[in-house]
Amino acid sequence: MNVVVCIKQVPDTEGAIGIDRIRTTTKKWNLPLVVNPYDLFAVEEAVRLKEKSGPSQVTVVSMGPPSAQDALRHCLAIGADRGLILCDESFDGADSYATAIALARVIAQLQCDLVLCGQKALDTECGQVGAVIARSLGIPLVSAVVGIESGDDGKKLRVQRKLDKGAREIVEVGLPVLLTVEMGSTKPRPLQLRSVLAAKKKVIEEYDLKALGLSADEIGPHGSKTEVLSISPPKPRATQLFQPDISLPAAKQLGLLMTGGVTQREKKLLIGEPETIAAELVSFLCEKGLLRIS
Amino acid sequence: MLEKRAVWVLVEQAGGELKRASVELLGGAREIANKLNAELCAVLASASVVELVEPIAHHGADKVYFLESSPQGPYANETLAEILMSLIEEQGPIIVLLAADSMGQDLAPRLSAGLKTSLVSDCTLLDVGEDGRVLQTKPVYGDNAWATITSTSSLSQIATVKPGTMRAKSPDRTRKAEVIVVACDASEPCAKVIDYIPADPKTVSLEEAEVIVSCGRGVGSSGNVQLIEELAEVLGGSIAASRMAVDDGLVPSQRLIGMSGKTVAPRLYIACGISGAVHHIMGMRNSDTIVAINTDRNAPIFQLAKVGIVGDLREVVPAITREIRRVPINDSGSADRAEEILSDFRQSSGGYD
Repeated sequence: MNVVVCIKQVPDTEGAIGIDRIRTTTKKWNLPLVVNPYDLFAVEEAVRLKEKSGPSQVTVVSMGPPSAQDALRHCLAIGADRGLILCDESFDGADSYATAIALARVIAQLQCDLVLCGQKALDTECGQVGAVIARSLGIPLVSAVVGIESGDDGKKLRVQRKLDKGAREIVEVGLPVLLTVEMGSTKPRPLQLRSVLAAKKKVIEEYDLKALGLSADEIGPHGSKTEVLSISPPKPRATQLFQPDISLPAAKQLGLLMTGGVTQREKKLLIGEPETIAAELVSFLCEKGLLRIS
Repeated sequence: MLEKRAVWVLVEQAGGELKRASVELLGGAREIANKLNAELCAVLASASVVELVEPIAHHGADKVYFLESSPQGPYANETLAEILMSLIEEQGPIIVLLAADSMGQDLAPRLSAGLKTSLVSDCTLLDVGEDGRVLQTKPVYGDNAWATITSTSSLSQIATVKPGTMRAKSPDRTRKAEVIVVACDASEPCAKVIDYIPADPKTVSLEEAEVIVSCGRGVGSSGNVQLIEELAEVLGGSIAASRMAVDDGLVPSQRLIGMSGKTVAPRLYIACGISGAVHHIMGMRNSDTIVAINTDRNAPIFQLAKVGIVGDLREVVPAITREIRRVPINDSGSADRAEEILSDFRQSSGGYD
C-alpha cells in the first residue's frame, strides 16, 4: 500500500507564553518551527500501518519555504520513506484552498492508495486542505480519524472516528481514500538519534511550479479564496460579572457578591434515613430522565 | 440589485430538539442578515422532525428548507454534502453558516471543496464591512492572535462558528417562516459505519461529561472516594473534585472544577461533601440539575441545589448506589411514585431557571 501524508511546518505557539501580542506576524515572534502536531499523528498512523501490513511506502509531502525540509526530515526520522517539498516563490500567499490544489496535483502523480492529512494546522486552524485534496483527486473523505486498521483483503480500511462527547464510531471504507487525522491515542514516537542521522542523509525531492504544471491563476493569492484583512491581538470576551441589585441593603449586596451572585432558589431538602433519601432522589432522577443518560 | 440575498444556517437537532449551538447560530446569523439586509434561511438537515420548523422560525429564520428525505444513519455527511451543494448552487446564498461541532467540522470543508469556494472555520465574531463584505474573525496561532478574514470568491462562502460565541435570541413566538420542501434522492455513502463506541465516563474530558459526581473535603479519606466512584459508575458519570479534595490528593488535578480548574455544565452534577465556596461554584453553576450532599445544612452549596441532602455521605452515597442498582429503568411502580414526588417539586419549583 502506498501512503502519502501531507504535512505542514508551523510556528510552535504551544509554549508561546509571554510573546509580544502586539507584534502580529510570527516571524517577529521568532518562534521555533515544528511539524504541525496533527500531522505528526498522521505520520505515526502511516508508519504503523506500514509496520503492520508489510511492504508499503510512506511519502511525506509539504508545501512551504525551504525551511520546511526540516519538518520533512523529522517525518523521515519517524519512519517515512520519501520526502517531497513544493517550493516556489509564486506559491507565497496561498490560502488553504490554493495549497490543497497544488498538493493534490503532486499527489495525483504519486499513484497512492491512501492519503493522510492532519485534521487542521495549528497556525491557521482552517481544516480545509484534506477535503479539497479529496475532491480534487475524486476520492472519498473520512474526517476526525483517531485509529486506522487495514481490512483483511487489503482493499478496505477500518477507521475509528472521534465524535462529540467522547464517543467514537468505526467506519469501513474502501481504498483509495483520504483520511484527516485527529490527535488521538496513537502518540507519535520519540525520535531516535540513529534515525535522525539517517534522515539527514536522505534527499528531499523538490517540485516547483513548472514541475506541477499549474497555471498562475491556480496558485498563490490568485488561486486563493480568502484574504486575511488583519491579524490583531486577541480581545477576550468580557466575562459577565455579577452585579447585585443596588436597591438592596449593603450587607445583602456583599453577601450576594461573596456567593458569586447565587440567589436562594426553591429546592427540595431531604433529611432523614439514608434509604428513604436515596429512594426519593432516585425517583426524582428517574422522572427527570437523568438516570443512565447515555 | 435584484438578486436574492440570503444568509443560510444549517440547523441540527438531537432527540427532537434544536441543538444549543444551532439556536446560538440562528441568533448570530440573524444579526448578520439584518446588517446585510438579507433574509435568514435555515436548512433543517433532518427530515423526520417537522415540529422543529416552528422553533426555528421563533429564533429568527424567515425561511426553512426542509429536506424531504435526508440521508439516514450516522456519518451520512458525504451524501448530505451533495444535497446541500446542489441546493446552495441553485439558490446562491451570500454565506452558509454551520456550527463548528463534529458535524459542521466535517461538512463545511466538504461544501467548500465541492463548491470551490472559501471556508473560514471556528469563527468567533461575524461582522459586515462598509463595502458589504462579511468579516469573519477567528483565533489563529493557538489563540495567540485573531485574524479577520474575508472571502475573495464570488460564490456562496462557507463558515463555521465556534459554539458558545454567538448569543441566542429570545424566541419570538409570533414569527412565522416560509417552509420549502426540497426533494432529494440520497445516494449510498462510500464510508459505512459498522460500530459505535460510547464515551467512557472515566476518561471523557469533564467539559464533555453528561453526569459529574464531584467530591470535596467532606469526602475525607481515599476510602470514601471509592464510594463516590461506585456512584459515578452506576450513574455513568465522571469523577471530579473541588480544590480541597485535589489538594488532599484524593482526585488528580485534571479533574478540578472551579475558578482555577475547569468550568463545566453537565446535565446532572452531584456535589458530595462540597460546601460550595465561590471558587468552586463559578465552575459548576451552569449545570442543569445540581444535587448536593452535605452534613451542614447551612452550606452555601444548598442554595444552588435542586435537591439538597443533609446527611453523612458515607451513609447516603452507598444507599443511593444501592437504590439505583435496585431500580430497573422504566419501572412503572417507581414512575408513579416519581410522579407523586415530582408534583411536589412542580409546586415548589416556580423560581427555577
